[in-house]
Amino acid sequence: MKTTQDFRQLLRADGGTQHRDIYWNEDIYAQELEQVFARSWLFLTHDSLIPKPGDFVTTFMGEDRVIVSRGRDGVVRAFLNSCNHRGNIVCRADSGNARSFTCHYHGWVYGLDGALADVPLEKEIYTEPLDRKQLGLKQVRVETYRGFIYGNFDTTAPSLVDYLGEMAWYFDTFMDVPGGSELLGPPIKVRIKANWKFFSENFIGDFYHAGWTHAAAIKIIGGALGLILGNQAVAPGIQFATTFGHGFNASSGTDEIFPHIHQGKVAELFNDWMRARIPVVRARLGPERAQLYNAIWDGTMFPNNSFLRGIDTWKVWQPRGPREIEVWTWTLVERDMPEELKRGIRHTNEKTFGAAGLLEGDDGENMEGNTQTSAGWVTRQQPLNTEMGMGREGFREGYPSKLSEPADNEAAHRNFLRMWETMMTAKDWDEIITRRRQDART
Amino acid sequence: MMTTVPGTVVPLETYYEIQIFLFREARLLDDEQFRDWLALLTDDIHYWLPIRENRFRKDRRPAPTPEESASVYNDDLADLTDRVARFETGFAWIEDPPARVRRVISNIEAETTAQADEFVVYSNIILYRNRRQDEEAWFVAARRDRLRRVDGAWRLARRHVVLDQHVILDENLSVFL
Repeated sequence: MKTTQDFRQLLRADGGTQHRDIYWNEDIYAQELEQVFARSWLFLTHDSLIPKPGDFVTTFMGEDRVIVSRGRDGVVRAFLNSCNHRGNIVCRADSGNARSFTCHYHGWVYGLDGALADVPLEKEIYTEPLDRKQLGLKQVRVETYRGFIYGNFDTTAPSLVDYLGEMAWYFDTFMDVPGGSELLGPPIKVRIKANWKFFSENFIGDFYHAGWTHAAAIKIIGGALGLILGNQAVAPGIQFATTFGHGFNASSGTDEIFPHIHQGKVAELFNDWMRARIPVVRARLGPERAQLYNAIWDGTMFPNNSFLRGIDTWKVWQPRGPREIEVWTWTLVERDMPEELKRGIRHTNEKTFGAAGLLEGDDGENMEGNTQTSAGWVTRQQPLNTEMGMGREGFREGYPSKLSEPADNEAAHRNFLRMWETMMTAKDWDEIITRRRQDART
Repeated sequence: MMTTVPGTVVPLETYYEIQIFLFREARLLDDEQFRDWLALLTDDIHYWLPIRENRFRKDRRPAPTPEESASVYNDDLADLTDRVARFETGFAWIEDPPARVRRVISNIEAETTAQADEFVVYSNIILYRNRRQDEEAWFVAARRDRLRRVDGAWRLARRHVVLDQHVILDENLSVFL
C-alpha cells in the first residue's frame, strides 16, 4: 500500500499537480477500491425509483455488486449481490419487484432484507444446521438525504449528512424545495475507456472546458451558455469546495434570465416554473440560495456522483478498473413539476448528456485521451496541472464553504484531489475528519 | 389503389421500392449526406431508441413508451436537425478526422396499414464504426419503421430502433441506426 510519503511524489501538497499514475496504475486503483470506495457514501438510487415494497434495483459500489430493495416494512436496505455459498450473482435483473432473491447455482434464497431464508435440502445434507445469521448477504449502511439514497460499507464513517457537510446546505437549494427533487430512470449506461476521476473532476469544476470542448453543441443550442462559445469570454460564476471533497460551479442568471439549455416548449415551461418558484425558494432558503437556484451547476459529490442543474443530469461514474468506467445517467427533476415539464427535462438531458448526447460524446473522447496517453512510460512521467485560480479561494458571508471566482477555476479539482489523497492514506475516519477539517480552514 | 387488410404483405413492386429506399438511406448516412437524409423524413418524424433493461420474464411492467422510458434518441425533426447542424459547425471535434461507418440492412418485411399510403416496415441493421487508429464498435438492432408515400416519394415517418445492448459498449451512440 502506498503511504502519505509516496503520495507526496504523486500529488503536490496543494493539489496543483499530479503524477499521471493516479489515473493509470493498477495498484493505486486497488487501493482506491479499498480506501475510497469501501469507505465513502456512494449513490445507490432514489426513493422514487423503488416506491413499493419488493421494488429493487441492482447497482455497484465501486466494483462491488449490490442489491437495493424496499422491504415489506417499507425500509430500503442494500446488501452484496453475491451468494455466500460459492459467490455467484444472486440477482441478474436491473430492476423489478421481488419477494426474494434466489441464487441460480444451488437455489439458496435470500429475503428482501438480504437474510438467508432458505437452503434446499439443508437438513438432509449438512451435518449441522447452517449458521444463517453468518450467511446473510453482507449489509450496506443505507442513509437517505431528501429521497436520495446512498450506501456505505464502513460502519465507522460519519453519517451521510455529516459526510455531505456544507454540501447538504447547497443541495437543499433544489432538494429542500416544496415536494423535493426526484430522479427519472432507469439509468442509461455507457462504457468509456477512461479513469473515473477525470469525470468527477470534469463535473466538479471544469467550467473552462465547456466553451471549447462543447463548442459545436453550444453553437446549436447555446441559450444562456452561448456567451462562452469558443472560450471567447469568461462567464460570471462561483466555484465552491467543501470539507469532504464535494464541490460545484454555479453560473447564475438574473430573476428574468433563467440559465438552462432547454428549447422550444420545454424552455417556456421551465421559465414559467422558475418565475413562480424563485420567490418560494427565496422565502424558504434565503437570497443566496435563491440565486443559486437560478443557476447552471456542474458538481460532484465525492467520489463519483456528479450532476448538472439547469440541464438536470444526474450521474454516477462506476469504475471498471483504472482505465474504464460505466457512466450511469438519470434525469433530475422537482417532484411538483408538471408531467409535461418533467418529460421535457428528461428529453433535454437525454439529447445533451445521454448516450448520444450532443455534449456527452465530446467529453468521453477527451477523458479517454487523458487516460490512454499514459500507456507511454515517458508520457506518464509528465505531471498534470490544476493550478488555475490558485490562491483565490476564500470565504464569503452567507455561504458555508470555501469558494472562488470565477467559475473558470480548478480550486474544486484541487480540493477533490486532496480529499482523495487523505482517504488513500488515512488509517481511519477519525484521521480523515481531522485532516480534512484542517484543510477546510486554511 | 385497392385497399387491403392491414398487415398484408405488400406486392413485389412496393417491396422493391421500400428496399431501395432503405438501402439509399443507409448509403446517405454512411456517406455523411445528412441533409439529404433529413429530406427523406416526414415533418412529423418520430425517431426513438429506448434503453433496454434486463427484466425478469415474469416482470409485469408494461413495455416502455417514449413518454415513460429512458431513451438514447426520442427525437422529432427539430432534434434530428440539431444533431446534423452540430455536425456541420466545424467544432464537432469527435467527428474530425471522420469515422468510418458502414451499415448493412437486412431481413426487410413490409406490410400494409389502415392508411393506403403508409406501410409498416421491419428490418435489421448492423452498423460498424471504426474511428481514430483502431477503435471499433458494432451496433446490431431491429427497426420498426413506418414509411409513407408523400406525393409519390417515399418518406420515413416513424422509426423505433430496438438496440441489442443494455450497456452501450462504445463511448457514444452518436450514429443514426
